[in-house]
Amino acid sequence: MKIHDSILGLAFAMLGLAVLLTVSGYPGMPGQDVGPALFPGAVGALMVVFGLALAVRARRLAMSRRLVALGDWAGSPRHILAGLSIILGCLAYALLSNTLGFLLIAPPVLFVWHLAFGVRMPKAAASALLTTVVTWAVFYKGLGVPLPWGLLKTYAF
Amino acid sequence: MEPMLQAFRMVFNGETLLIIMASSVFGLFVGAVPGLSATMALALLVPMTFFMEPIPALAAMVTTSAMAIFAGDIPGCLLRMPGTAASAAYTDEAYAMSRNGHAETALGSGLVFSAVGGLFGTAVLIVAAPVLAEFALNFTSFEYFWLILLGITCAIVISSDRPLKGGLMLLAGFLVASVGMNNPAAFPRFTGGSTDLLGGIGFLPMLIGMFAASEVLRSALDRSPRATIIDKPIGNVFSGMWRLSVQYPMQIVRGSTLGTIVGALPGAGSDIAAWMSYALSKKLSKEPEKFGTGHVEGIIESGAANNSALAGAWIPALVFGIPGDTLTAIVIGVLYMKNLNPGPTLFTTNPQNMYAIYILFIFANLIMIPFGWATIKVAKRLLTVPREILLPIILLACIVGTFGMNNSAFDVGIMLVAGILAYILEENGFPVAPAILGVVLGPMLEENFVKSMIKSDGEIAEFFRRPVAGVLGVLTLMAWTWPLIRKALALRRGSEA
Repeated sequence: MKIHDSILGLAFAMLGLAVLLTVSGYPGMPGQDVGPALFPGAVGALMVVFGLALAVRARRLAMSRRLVALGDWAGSPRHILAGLSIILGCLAYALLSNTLGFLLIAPPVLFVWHLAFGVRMPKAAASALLTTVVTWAVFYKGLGVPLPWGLLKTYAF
Repeated sequence: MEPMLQAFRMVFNGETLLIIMASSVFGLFVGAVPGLSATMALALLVPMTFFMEPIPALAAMVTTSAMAIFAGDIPGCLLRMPGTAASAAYTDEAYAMSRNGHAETALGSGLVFSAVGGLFGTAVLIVAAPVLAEFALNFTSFEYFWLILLGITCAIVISSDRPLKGGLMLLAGFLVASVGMNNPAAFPRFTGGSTDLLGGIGFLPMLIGMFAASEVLRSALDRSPRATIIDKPIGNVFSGMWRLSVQYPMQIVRGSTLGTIVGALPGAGSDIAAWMSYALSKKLSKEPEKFGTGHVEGIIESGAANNSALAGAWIPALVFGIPGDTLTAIVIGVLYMKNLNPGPTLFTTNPQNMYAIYILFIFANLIMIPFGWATIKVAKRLLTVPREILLPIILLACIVGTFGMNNSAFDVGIMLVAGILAYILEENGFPVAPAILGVVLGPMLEENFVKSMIKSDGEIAEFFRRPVAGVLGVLTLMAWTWPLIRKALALRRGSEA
């Protein structure tokens, strides 16, 4: 996904400006010249300068006139699906893992990812189950990472 | 003597040795699979190290990074796709050697001289770090302030061919580090009223997002066809290595030395060291015309350089807490997590930890030879590992690692956002490494600046009054104005001509 440098430069400059506006309301430290606004304020100011410089340079250089160009993946429904499945799968895990538990949420998420990446159904199911068990064994049993049990709490071991 | 014995016991016990073995396999695997980088290997390791004792955690990181950097040579040699950025400098050369039927020489010299370079860098680390640490004991906030500024300037100017974009990424890193109450005034900044943000944006979710999730996203969206492996038999990789050592001793020493120095410069890591060494090797070679046709000389020199840079990067990381490259930026994060705060006092208060780190480096570089040999033996199978199976597994490890630290959905959100942003920005030529340097160094820079301002009562001249601070300050200012000076000199030369 290519975005014209002039847009990205302006985006950074606007972010810097927003930072400057936000820190302008921060209080000082009693009896000191410096306060919580100084460091982010300097960062914001430099961001405005660097962002504008990038935008100006992009206008000067003979860059592509297209402001936004999607990558090759945009022409392939399978690749779009793979990208989307990553985002949705992460969100599903984040929102449902405490309720359902790791052992119930990981297999379907993995199964969908495998399918989205082009793996055939039986292989996807086998890999999803095996990966869940191995990950659980390594992280939960091996390293002591507190993976949630959720609905299976009564069977926790 | 007692701290040294203690260090040996810390390294050579069942648990640590098991972790070293597992990390070796992990590092070699990740390094050898095209599209998975050494940085990704370390990012995925961090959540696991959270649940380990400090020395096993460091053992995992040292071993994984050393193995991954070497293993990056394998796909470079057989597929013309460097496994890690550190192998990119001599990928074409190694591939040309494989096509000419000399894959074993290319891989063997990558393996043997990587180990030699790594040991050389470790020797320098052992000698230089304590001396520097003693010197650094007298440093005040003024010296640290300039040192950090000089470091980040080097990171932007040296390590990036796009200083403007690198600078913006560094500033973005500073901004991320500013979120929350972790500032000298303990004032909640940029939290928007969210309690989740009071403690700041987690280093770990961001790290995993930027270096692991973004790579998974890139691989998932990549439509380029898979490269084909050179299908020629690989002979004994150790055959002829002694002859090469006798033939090219200067190249080995030069590559190792340059690699260690470049590695020790903040911001410049193994990849820059390898590129510089390869270029130097070609320039000083008696047979420069052979470079690019499948000539081993450049591989020896830059192979030694990239692994010596790895140890070199630990010098500023351990002595000053300033990362030498992205890998050490991650390590510094782990050191803080483990209460092994880097800095000169680490050498005086916990010498056994320092000795353990030295032993780990030596051991990792020694076992690299048998482990690397075994990896080369199964290389062709490793390179055909189905990406579509591997990516979901890596992604699950990213999520479990991120989520498992605090059982926080918010952290997974941070990982996801960081991954998407890193992917988009990298696609548009923004280097990601300066952002992580910014996150690590931002709080240090602010703290030392505020301390110095309070001590000097706002008097800027005080920042230059102490001799070392003055020199560092002048060097920093020169580095900032160097592009302008260079332009002015070029204009003057042009007008004279």
